[in-house]
Amino acid sequence: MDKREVEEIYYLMSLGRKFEYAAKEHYMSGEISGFLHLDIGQEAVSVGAMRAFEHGDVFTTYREHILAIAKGIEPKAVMAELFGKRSGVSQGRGGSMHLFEPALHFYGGDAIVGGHLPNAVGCAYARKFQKAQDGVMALFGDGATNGGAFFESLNIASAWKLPLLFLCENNRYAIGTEITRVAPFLEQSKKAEPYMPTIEVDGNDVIAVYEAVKEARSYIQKGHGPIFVEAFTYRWEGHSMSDAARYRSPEEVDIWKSKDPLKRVRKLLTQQYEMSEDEVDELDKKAQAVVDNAVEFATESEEPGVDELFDNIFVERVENVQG
Amino acid sequence: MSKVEMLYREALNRAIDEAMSSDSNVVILGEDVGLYGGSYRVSEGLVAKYGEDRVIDTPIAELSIVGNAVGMAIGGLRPIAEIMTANFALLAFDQIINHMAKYRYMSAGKITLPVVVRFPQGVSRQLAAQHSESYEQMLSAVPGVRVLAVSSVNYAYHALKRAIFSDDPIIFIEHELLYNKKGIVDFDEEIDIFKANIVKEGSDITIVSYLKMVDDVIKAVPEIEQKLNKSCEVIDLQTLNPIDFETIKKSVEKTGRVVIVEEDHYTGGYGSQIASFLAEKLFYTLDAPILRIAGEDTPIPYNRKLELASIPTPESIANRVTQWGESNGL
Amino acid sequence: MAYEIVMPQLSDSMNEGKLISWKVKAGDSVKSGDVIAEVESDKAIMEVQTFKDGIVQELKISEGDTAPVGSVIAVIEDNSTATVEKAEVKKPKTEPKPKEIKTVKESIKKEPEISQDIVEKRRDIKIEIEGMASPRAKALAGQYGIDIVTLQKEGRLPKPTHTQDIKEFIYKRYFTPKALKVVRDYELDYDAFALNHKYRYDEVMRYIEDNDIAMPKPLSTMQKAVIDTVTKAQQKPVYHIYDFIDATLLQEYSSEDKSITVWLLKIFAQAMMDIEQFRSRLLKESIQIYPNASISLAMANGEALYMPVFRDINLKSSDEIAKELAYMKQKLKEGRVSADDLRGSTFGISNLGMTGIERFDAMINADDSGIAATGAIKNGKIAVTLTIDHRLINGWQGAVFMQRLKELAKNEDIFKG
Repeated sequence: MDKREVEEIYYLMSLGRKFEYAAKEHYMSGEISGFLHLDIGQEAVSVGAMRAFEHGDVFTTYREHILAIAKGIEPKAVMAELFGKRSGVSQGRGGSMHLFEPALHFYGGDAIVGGHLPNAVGCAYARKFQKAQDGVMALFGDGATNGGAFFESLNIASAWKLPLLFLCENNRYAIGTEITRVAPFLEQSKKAEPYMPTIEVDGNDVIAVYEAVKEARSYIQKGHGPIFVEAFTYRWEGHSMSDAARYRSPEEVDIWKSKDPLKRVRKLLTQQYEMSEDEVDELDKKAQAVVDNAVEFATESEEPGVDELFDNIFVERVENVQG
Repeated sequence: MSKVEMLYREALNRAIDEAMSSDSNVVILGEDVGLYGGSYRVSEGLVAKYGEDRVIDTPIAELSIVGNAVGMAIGGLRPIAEIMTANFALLAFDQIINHMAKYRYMSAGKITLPVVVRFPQGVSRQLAAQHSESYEQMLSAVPGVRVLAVSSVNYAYHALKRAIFSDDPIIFIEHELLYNKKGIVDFDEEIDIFKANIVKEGSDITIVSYLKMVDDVIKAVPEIEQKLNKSCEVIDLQTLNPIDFETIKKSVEKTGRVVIVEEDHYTGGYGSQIASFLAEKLFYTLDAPILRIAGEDTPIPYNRKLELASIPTPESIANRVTQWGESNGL
Repeated sequence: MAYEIVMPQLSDSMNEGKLISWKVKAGDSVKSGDVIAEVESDKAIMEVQTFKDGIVQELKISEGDTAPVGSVIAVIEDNSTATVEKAEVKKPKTEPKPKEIKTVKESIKKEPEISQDIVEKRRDIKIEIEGMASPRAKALAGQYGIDIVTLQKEGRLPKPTHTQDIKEFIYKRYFTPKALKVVRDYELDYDAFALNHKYRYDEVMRYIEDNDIAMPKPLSTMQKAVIDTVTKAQQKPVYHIYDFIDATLLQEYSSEDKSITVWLLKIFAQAMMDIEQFRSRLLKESIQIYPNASISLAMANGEALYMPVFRDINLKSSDEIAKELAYMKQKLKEGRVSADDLRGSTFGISNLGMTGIERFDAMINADDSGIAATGAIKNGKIAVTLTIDHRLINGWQGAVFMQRLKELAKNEDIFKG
């Protein structure tokens, strides 16, 4: 793998983690509100998948800040959205859970678990219909694989041979319920086996994720139909900020923290690509500066006006009488 | 050529056909829309003309029918999703309400969803509780989707065509018993689909209705007019969200008396929204209490006699309006 | 035993079906499960099967025909039940006849009657409050300082009070009964008056004169009917023939009892018998030709214009015609003309001779094929204008008819009968 690419991946992962900590900080100080789902510990999946799937359409869930940034959305536009500002990517109407940028083919931010999968199937249908090259990727957690929308989507995507990459980010917990308590096995790709080929990958190894997604992408682009990739990882933080984490032990969290995906890339850069620790630190500093800048931007941005309340409900505006 | 008599389902078929022939991004998907021709023959002949890629037979998975349509629209198509009945559409309510209605707003207008979701609803003939319901009251309470209730053949054609080319998501409600209704389509007419239609003019009582109940009201009117010796103005709402309050207002300012007839259940029924508007905005023009004639608060029974007792009929409409008129100074 | 195949109900919303094709013909033997026809419902084209073995006796409708759900489309002579019936010889004749079976089927199709109890029982909350009135009535009462509560107690306003009641009250308060009658006749609104005192008749009349207000007069049923008839007549494709008939004999034979009209009826009846198009009537897909000559005759009574029909004139003597004419005049005076008196003609006459008018043309009555307008006698002649419906009678036939009238007017034999 190209050194510059690995460097870029490290930078994005570092940026992602710093972004998440900044979000956490400003949630605690009250500038950010609502639900905030942090991706710390899972950066390898988010960044690896996005780097490997640069051009296609991406449908994802509410834990999507790093995905959005890795797809190309400005960190300051994401932070401003978390702050509920007009300069945010969704102009303060969506918040943390609803980041969208169709210009970058990013339809992130769906907060109904599994609800975005049928949308990804439909989009894949459109891409096949248009004979477009890039295909569609849908990201979801292990928790989404127990719902009806998931099975309907596996079925339709495979029946119609749609160019759709299912990427399951298995972090073992559906909010506070360990997946093996509500599913018969840990590996959710088993559910997809009757429909399509599956690939399992270490979700804390960003290079492995990158390679797996790249291979899967080329499979769907060749018109073979859908494919299923499952990446095993772990979220260090709670499901959202309101999570007291009573369902798992501090020891378990520590074990996973020792498998820090960021440290693994740093090691790779210093050992295999002959970068110095200082050079890598420079990347961290650069990332921190971008995050600081994003927070400053978000803080200083204006809130949307109340007169904008009714904007963008419809294209064609017709009023109902009230007041 | 400009005015042609046809069936309601033929008018719908024609609107879809014309839309598909003028824009190759228009697709229709649903259970049995293709080879079978649609469960009410609305998509008859289209698969032969436009192929299976554009007339898409889906599995029985309503959540996916609407969910996929939303994704297709994101991908640049103009899908028409057909659901066999409103009762099955409940399985797709997550997609309709959480996705279709909200993506545009949540994305600050960056996502545009030109989706039409069509389905029939209402009491047909002895289809029992799980095939006879009406859900316009729930859907018209969802900001982000337009809700049309299609009663006339002319409106069926014009409204569907406009809906397909509208950039907003539209719920297009049909009625099972209207598919074989005959009517005239005026192809030269330019209609505003967000306007109610005055089906019959009158000066003493305003009767507001929509979908099949419009036909039942029209059947009841001669008896009402004869017994009360008053004339009725009949309004077919046509659009439930947005509501054309202007047309209702003009009529009520003239008559001072309003009857609202709907097939869905009395409690929380769509008519309560109209009644609320009248009480809030037109209180001083009212010359009698508002009369709501709605379906009973019961699941729809199978037995024909009970079934008819659970919804308004031309006879019950005539009786109740007459009684109400007599006890309120008419 | 006959087994009836009915138009099946193939969907919940189907009321009738179209027979696309028969798969069997009369005399064919069929087995249970055999397809005997294809029927188009509102949803699709479906096959109709027999559920019994037998021989096709009769196919009741043709391919392409539409029949209501439940109606019999084919009859099959059913072997199996025939044997069953033989085995049950003892059974009395209570077995329903086929005819009765049919009525049962029809009654199934009928919508059941619903008891109104349910409707009446629902949510009837009755509230009685002092001064109960509609919001609109209250607003109006407030505007004119009308105290609803007191007036209701005095029984001068109903409970609840509606706008119309307040309006009535305003009218009665500000207009004397005589003035009010004029206000009503002229459909005046009380808003037109200052309402600062009670208006008298002469004040209202002055207002009417000053403002040049016309009195609206609704059309009577008779006027509406006349408007309807002449409007329809106007739409007919007609042409006219103008000529004279000799009046010598007509004058000679007319008397106090037998007016010229009697003889005109007789002459026209004879001409109609000679040229059948004048005894014809146009229907949608055909023309009806009647055996006798029945003539509608314009008769006026005040504003009312009638065209009573004198039937089978060709069979009647002049005495009989004169009697009928007198009787009809009497009926007209008494206002007893019935709808039946106005039906059955194929040609009409409008005679204005008695007014001195020389020539005019008339409008064809109802479904008649034409009408003759006859004027006053001048220089021993009567002008006759025929107005003829070209759809029934062409110009040649019209001319022949006129020719015939002229001959008959000079034929003394006619005046002997």
